[in-house]
Amino acid sequence: MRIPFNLLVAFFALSTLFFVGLSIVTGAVNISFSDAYGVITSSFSNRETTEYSLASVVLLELRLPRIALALLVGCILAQSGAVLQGLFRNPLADPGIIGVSSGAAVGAIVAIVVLPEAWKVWSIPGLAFLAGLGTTFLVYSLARSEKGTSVVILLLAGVAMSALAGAAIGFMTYFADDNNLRELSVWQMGSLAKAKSEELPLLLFVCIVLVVLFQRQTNALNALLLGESEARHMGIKVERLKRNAIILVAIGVGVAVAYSGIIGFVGLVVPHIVRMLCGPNHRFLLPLSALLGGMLLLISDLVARTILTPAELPIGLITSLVGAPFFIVLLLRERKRWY
Amino acid sequence: MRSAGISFAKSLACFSLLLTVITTQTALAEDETPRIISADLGTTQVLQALNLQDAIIAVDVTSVRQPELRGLPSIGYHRQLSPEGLLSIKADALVGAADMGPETAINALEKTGVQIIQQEPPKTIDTLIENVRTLSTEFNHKEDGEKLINIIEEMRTTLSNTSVKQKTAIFLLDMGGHGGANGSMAGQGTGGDAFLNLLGLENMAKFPAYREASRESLIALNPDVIVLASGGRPSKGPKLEDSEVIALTRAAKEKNIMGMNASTLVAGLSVAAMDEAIRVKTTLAKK
Repeated sequence: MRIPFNLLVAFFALSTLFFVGLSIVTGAVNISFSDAYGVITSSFSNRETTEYSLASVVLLELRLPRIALALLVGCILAQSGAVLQGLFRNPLADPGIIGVSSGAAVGAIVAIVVLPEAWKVWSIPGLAFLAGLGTTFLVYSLARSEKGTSVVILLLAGVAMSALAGAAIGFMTYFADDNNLRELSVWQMGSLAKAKSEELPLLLFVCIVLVVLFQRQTNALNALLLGESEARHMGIKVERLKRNAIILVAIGVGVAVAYSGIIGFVGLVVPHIVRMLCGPNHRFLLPLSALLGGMLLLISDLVARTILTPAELPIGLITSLVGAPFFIVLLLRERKRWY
Repeated sequence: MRSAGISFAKSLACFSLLLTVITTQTALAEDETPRIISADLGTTQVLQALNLQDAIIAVDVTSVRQPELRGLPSIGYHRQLSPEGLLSIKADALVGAADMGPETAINALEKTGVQIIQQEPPKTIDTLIENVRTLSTEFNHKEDGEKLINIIEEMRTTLSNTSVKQKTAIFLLDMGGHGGANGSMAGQGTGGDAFLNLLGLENMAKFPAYREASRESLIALNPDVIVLASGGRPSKGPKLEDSEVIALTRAAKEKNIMGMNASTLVAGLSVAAMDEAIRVKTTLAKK
């Protein structure tokens, strides 16, 4: 049964707002609804102060940046997954498949193990982003020939690059000292705990640019669902579409991974749920994936930071715990189709 | 200066607060004794030795192993602390290693007036003494601090007065015989290396960090002493000391394979580790 797009948008938007509200008033520190409202409204006045109340520190410096980061990263990862699945006409595609995530992981790990401690604040996200982007260009150039870009070669090159990245990560891990080794483990499990308000404008900008540019490609992505030659006959410049989409995905995922570590399965699971609800039309699929991706990551983060309080779980564990069984169900469904 | 990101977050917050009706209240009893969160086993041990055990209100995952602290809330791994989780405990001080974090957690605690004390994990006796002195001064337990420092100094004297004829050693972390592993060898700058320094022995492993020891390199190194560190739990796998490779070394032939409790070195040198060093060195001196 297909649910009307407008109804789904309204439902996802209201649900997201509800979970944002729930995330604001839920956490290890108890903050009442009225206190939260007071802190947030008073923060709009431009008074500079050096005094910090517990509620204002928790809300303005911890919870709100974290909520915003979860929404933005979730939105970017889910949209990127939806675009890649459409581009490759492969329901199992996600941002990790073309090597962006593993490339970014190599960059971050080089920053952790090799570069000086004092540079880590910017070197980890910076190198993660650059390595993710570089890996994607490499994979893309391997798959590209005079005849065009082969999706099969692209996927296989992605798998090969991921394997190479895995070897590089293993190599760096082996030579890391104890402290770096622990930091590597933490980073690879993903976390939104380092969210800072200063980092959000860049992510917000990237997110908005991606949403707008992806939305402009929806007709072309829909045409591509029929097959590459059919899309060409319909006047779609397939090569340009592939190149642009892959570069945009690399930028989005590179930035997201740089600030949150590796968070798996969001890009895989979310587009599938949306497709089940409203069908494969990218015009509806992309904005709904963005909304649901943000909401899913927000809920995962809420669980991650409250389930073991006063400690917290890495968010990547929560998304993998939900995503992996979903992936298995997906494989079983695909198997039925093959035999 | 206001950032676009925080405004975005605030706007979301204002809209969503209208839809949310969850209120919570809390009231924590005030306590006059200092409320300390210990984010490191070494720190926890020093605090206990300073008679500050009752002041510890939460501990990290390594300290939870201490039987007397098992009922306390765990704040998790010291490099992935939950800022909000720590704030909810309403502590007066957070004490731990210099690399605890993330930065957001430390900043949030500082802003709400929580005292942050970060110390280097002790790799030498001098650092251990310095850490003891800092904590005893900060928490007004100077007398206990001086007593503990005297004990450490006495242990140092005992160690330096005990001479052994053996010169070289390796430190192997027993991995429980999983997959036929030869144990992880302690390189330079590790807790194992610090332990060998206490014994006055040269660590033959010149690489940094812990590395899996190859069978051939164990034979080639041929150390005078092998220190085998285990976690204290009985292993179900084959014992490392029974390994045919270790049997070929000079240490095995001269029966200089010494066991020690690895948990005493989890957070660098500790008083318990010095105790272990005295026991091992005294045994070696008798040979």
